Amino acid sequence: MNRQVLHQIAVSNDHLKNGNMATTTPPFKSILLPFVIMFCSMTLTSQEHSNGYIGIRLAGNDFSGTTRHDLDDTEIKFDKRTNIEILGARRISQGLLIRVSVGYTQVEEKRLYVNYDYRHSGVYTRIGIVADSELDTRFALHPGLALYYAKFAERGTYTLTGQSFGDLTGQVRRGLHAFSLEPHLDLRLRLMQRLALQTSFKYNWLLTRSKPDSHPVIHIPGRGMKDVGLDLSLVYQF
Amino acid sequence: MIMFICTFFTLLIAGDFSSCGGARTVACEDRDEPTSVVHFTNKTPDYWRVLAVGSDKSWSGHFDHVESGTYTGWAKALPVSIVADTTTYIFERAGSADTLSFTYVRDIRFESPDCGFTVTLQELRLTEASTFRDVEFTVHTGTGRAPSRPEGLTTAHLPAASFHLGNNIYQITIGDE
Repeated sequence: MNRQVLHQIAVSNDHLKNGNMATTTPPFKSILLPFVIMFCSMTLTSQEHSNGYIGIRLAGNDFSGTTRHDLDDTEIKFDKRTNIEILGARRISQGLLIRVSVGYTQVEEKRLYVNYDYRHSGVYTRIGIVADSELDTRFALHPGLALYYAKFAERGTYTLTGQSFGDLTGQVRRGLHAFSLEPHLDLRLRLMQRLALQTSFKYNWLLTRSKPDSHPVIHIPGRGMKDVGLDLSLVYQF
Repeated sequence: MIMFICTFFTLLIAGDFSSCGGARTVACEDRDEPTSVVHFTNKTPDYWRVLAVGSDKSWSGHFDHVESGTYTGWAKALPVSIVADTTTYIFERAGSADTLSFTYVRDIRFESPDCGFTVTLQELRLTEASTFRDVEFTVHTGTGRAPSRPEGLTTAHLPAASFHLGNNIYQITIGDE
């Protein structure tokens, strides 16, 4: 039987289902980043010293957001997103500090794909060194280099609809990891005697990561899916 | 300090530019119950109703007469269960019934971000429960890529809630009995 005839039979039948047509929308990239970084760098004119600090990440973003896949620039906003990160640094010499951060991320997205609900949780850590620049009492500038490692789990539930025999649901579970090198530039602004705001501009260069067979990796904790990112933290200096 | 905070939020917002643009459409394999086409080659089916084990639905016993090139016969599209590895149809006629039962392997996998998870059936085989013996299975695969519409089919034949061209078709040919 040829395929044309089969289609004619199929489209005329009464039991059949919703068409499997999927729709996505393409995006525009932000071009402001280099200009704003340049502007920000030009505002730095001073110096400060401390033996170290501890802090907590308040906010952050990977610049272009997370997308469903490489060919689709529609950003995923995530129905639920939690990111907790603490960080600290300790002076090890006159011009160097060792910097460590650990974090936990959890995100959820219903209908990540047309018939797939997605959940993600994972931990990550960064360890590296930062240079202590000679700025004034209010500003500190710390260019640094860190090793980044993340271990995370993605879980999802797919549903194939069955109008006659019932729906079929199944689970996807997979453990993943990522390892990268992360040059960053920390800009710290003292608010009070020991309290400061710190912004970290970072470029996360992925060296290796899991490449699972099923759907693409959606989110890497503490990093997102884009190489360039920005964090804002509140730190206590000592 | 104000400049510092403004700079941070400017950068944060810069990362949140989202988009607009034209939609793109893709064809997908089955993400719901696949379609079988039961095809009688030599005799006009005289059934008045079709039932399926595991479903509370029933279908008319009417089969469409189809003729294309060297092919003639009577055919009807029916759903295949995705919650079991066996589908059994019961073709009822006055005073008796025929049974068509077949097994298969369900291959459920992630097809693409646009399509999500889809199912294909493999290794279709007749079971002993069938009253038909001369049965042949043929799989007409949907490519998952945008198909060209067969000649003769217009958009009127392809409403939104209908069979989609990317889907597979599982043809079950029943010959001489």
